Order: sequence, then C-alpha cells, then structure tokens
Amino acid sequence: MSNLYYLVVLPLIGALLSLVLARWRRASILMTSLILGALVVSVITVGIDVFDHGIVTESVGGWPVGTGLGMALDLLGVVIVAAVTGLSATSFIYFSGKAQSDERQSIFYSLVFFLVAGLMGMTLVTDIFNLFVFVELSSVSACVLVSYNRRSEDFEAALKYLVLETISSFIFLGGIVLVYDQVGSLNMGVIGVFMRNESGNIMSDISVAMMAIGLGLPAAIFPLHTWLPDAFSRAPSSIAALLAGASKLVCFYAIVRLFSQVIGLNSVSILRLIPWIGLATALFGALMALVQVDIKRLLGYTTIASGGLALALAGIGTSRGFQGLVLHMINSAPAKAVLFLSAGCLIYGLSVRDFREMKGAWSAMPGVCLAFLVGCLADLGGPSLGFFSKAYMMFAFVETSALMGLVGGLSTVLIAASYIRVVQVLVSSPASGDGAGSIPNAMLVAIGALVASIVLLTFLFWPLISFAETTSLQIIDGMRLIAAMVGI
Amino acid sequence: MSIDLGIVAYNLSFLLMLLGIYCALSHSDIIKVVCGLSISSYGVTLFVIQIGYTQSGSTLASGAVVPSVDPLMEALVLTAVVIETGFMMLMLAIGIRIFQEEGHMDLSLLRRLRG
Repeated sequence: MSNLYYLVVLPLIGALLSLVLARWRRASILMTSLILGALVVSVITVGIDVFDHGIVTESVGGWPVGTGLGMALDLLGVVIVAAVTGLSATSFIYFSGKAQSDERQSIFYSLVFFLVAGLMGMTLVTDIFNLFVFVELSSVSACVLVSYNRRSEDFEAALKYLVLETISSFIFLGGIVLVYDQVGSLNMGVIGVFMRNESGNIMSDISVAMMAIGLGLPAAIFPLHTWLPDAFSRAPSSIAALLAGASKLVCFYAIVRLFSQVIGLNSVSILRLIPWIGLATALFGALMALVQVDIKRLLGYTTIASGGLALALAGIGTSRGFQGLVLHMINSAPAKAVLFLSAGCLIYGLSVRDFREMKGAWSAMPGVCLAFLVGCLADLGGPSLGFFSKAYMMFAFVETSALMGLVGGLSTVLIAASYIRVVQVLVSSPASGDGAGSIPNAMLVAIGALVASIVLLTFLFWPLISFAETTSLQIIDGMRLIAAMVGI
Repeated sequence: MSIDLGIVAYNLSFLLMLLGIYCALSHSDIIKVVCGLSISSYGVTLFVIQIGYTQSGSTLASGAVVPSVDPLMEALVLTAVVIETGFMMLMLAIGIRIFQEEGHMDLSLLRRLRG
C-alpha cells in the first residue's frame, strides 16, 4: 500500500502555507525545507514500491480502482517524479541566493509549489480530464512565474504564452469530449482498449490529434514552439531551469504514457507522424539556436531541439528507441537545469545577456564556466551518461530509417555547433579589465549539486542502462499499464 | 430528407469556437483578444454540454428513477468554466500591467522579443 496522492497533496499544502507564513521569513524557509524533505521521503518510498511491484496504482477516496480519481506510477514515472522533486529543490536553493532583499518571495514559493503540484499530477493521473486540469494548473503558474521580475518584456512573453496556452486548452478540451463521446469513459485504460480494437476510425484520428495539440503546446513541439524562447529567456533563471528540466520532461512523459503506451502507436494512424514531427522540431530548434546572441534564448532553442529528439524516440516505438528515450530523459533533466542556472549566474555576474560580450568570463568566474561546460558536454553526448543516451538514440534512428539517422545526427551536430560558439567566447582572453560582481553562495551550491548529480549519473551508467532496458519493456507492453488503470 | 439536428448543433458550436479564435488572432488590442478567446470558450462549453445530452438517460435522484442528462459532463463543464475564467482574468491582469508600463494595450506595438 503506497500513498501516491502525497506527491500532489504535499506541494499544495506548501503553496498554501507559504502564503500564510509570508510575514515570517525564517518560518517560511523552514516550512519549505520540511515540505521538500517530506516530498523526498515519499518519492523514495513510492520508488521502492514501484521497483518491487512494477506498477503501483491507487484510487483516491476509497473507490474501487478505475472508478474514482485514479493514480498510477510506473518505472519511467519514478524517474520523472524524482527529477521534479530534485529540480524544484535546486531552484528553491538558487532563488534563496537572490531573495535576500525580495519581499515577494512568499509568492514565488507558493507559485513554484503550485507548478510542482501540477507536474506531479500530470505524471500520476489515469484519466484524461484530470490530465487537462493538471496541465492547466502547471501552465498558469508557469505563466505567472515567467513575469515574476515585472519588466515590460516579461509581461509580453507571459501574455504570448498565455494566449497560445488558452487556445490549445480549448482544443484539448474539445478532443477530450470527442473521445468521451466515442468511448463513454474518461479513464485512459478504457480509452486505450477502445482505440486498440477500433483502429481505422476517422473520429479517433481527429480526437487524438486534438489531444496532441493540447499536450504539444506545453511540450513546445514544432509548430507550437513559438512561446518557449521568449518565456525561457525572460523567466528568472531558477524558473527557466525548472521549466526546461522538469516541466518539459513531464509533458513528454504524458505524451509517451498516453500515446505510446496506452493508446498504442499502431492503433491510430495519425500517430505514425510523431517521429517526423519530432525530427522537424529538432532540426528547426538546432538551426534557430545557431543565429541567437542572447545566451538564454539560445538555450531555449536547444531545449526545443532536444525535446524534438525525445519526441522522435517516443514515436519510433522500437525497444531500442524507448531505451534511448529513458536514458535521454534521465540525462537531460540535470543537464538542461545546470545550463540555465550557470547562464543565469553569468548574466548576474557580468550584467550582459549577449554572450558575445562575455569575453574572459572563464578567468573571472572559472567555476560557473566549468559548470556550463559540463552541462554542454552532458547535453550533446560528451563523456557522460549523455554519450550512452545519444548512442542508443542514433542506433534507434538508423535501425528505423537512414533518413531519420541523417536528420537526427545533423541536428545533434548543429546543437553542438551553437554550444561551441558560446564556449569559445567564454574561454577567450578578456576584452577589458572589467571584474565580475560577486555571486551569492546559494547559487553556487545549487549549480554544484547539479554538477555532482551529472557526475554521479555518469558513474552509474551500467545500472542505468539495465534500468532503461527493463523500462523499455514495460513501455512496449502497454497492456500492463492499461490493466492497472482499469483495475483488473 | 431529414437533417440530423445533433450534427448541425455540434458543427455550430465548433464554428463559434473557430470564430472566437479568429477574432483573437486577427485583433491586436488585448481586450479584443480576451473577448475573442471568451467567445471561443463559450463554443467549447456548448460543445461539452451537447455531448452530455442523451435521449434516454436516467439517474437515481432521491430514491426514484428520473430522466436526466449525463451528470459527468455537467461536472466537466463546471471545472472547465472555472479554468477558462482563470485564464481570462490572468490575461486581463497582464494586460493592465502592460498598459501601466507602456501606456497602450496594442500587441502589434509589443515587438521586443523576436527571432
């Protein structure tokens, strides 16, 4: 017996309490650490349970499984909840370095807790309407957090995200209702069984496409990606790291769970387009990253590109593809977060956003630049777990078709080229004797923790590869998750 | 020749949703964008309500079987309406902040973030 709903309830309690305790600074910091500690403990207990049983299900409120609000967690889901918990803790630590003179920090804590609750809910729920509710909960709090610094450009980015998110949420809701009209149930498991039996139905194509638009906008899939570079470049760095590392990961997990695992890639014909859309996203993001000069905007476009690669792996449907996907997800969460946090430190220390003016940053801030380099290496497949994820990814692409391997390889090389452009400027000799401002210790602690986790993951590559093999078998055998969701 | 009124009503609510989205995308004033999006949200809500209508539905109310529509869709509409209202309010709030910062609410003049 496990308690999956603690993963959603604890952040919601935290969101409420941080508003109540807004006046008392020490009490709110203590409360935040207690909630995060409780979250870590429940992730560990749930994780042990999932490793013992394969899939853990729970029905909130004592209803039989499959009737009420159901929750289910599988092996890949454990990776996701662990990444969300770890990255939210890092972003709290990073923010506390900046927040010494910030009176609105309780609002920040509350919104981050709401975001975490939405992400946990998206990972756990087994019916599509609650998936919709949690997607909207996390996107609304993300929108407000993007405009946290209250500059004019921040509001512009937040408004752009919000308008697009509203339109996509209407389409998502329409798709959910169309599915309900055909199937007569909102449970993902029942929908999966229906779609597997009734393949070739034009209405299932339409409704699945509408749901894909609803999930594709927060996941920033081409051509629904336009909000991401603006939002990520204007958001505070701690939020950009949380969105790039955790939020995108959860969106892709929801896509994998709903489309690859439950509905099945072969049962609805429109899902065969997924790998090509993913590769188009990857190529487009990599090409656009090459021409950027704002360092966080460049990182935003490389985030789009690596998300596209993940989508392509999710759509191929071979066991090697899913192994690559699992390794890619484990590797890219800390890599993306460390890239955004160290870029935020560079901007904070040098007070420029244009990376061409960051000459000589290596001599001023060697630690931060080293962390940026580690993030780049992990993200593009250098000597780290990223190497194995990229190797499995290329094997999976080439196995499927030569063209896919070509496009995937080309976009990886283009991402590498845009990282090299940045690193080359950072290590060049300083243009003037302009010293860097001092960086708060909390920021360095957050970056150091992420670098340590990348190094740890590198040394754990052998158990992680065998974990990826077990997980890919579980993803391919979608019927087990369906049975757990329906309650057989 | 008979026309299925149910199909016509589905298509009309979809048309309302598309009209709202067109209105939101073709105007550059933030208030008009919000108006368009709320028209679009009415279209979606209407669609959800229509799906909930059944000819021969019945439910147990206070011990007796009475004719009824699908109660699940009513719950969905309630939740969806609250979420949509939250979106509209947040959009208007951001619009007010943009007006305070810039002195106008014209999206076509907000072009700092490009490329």
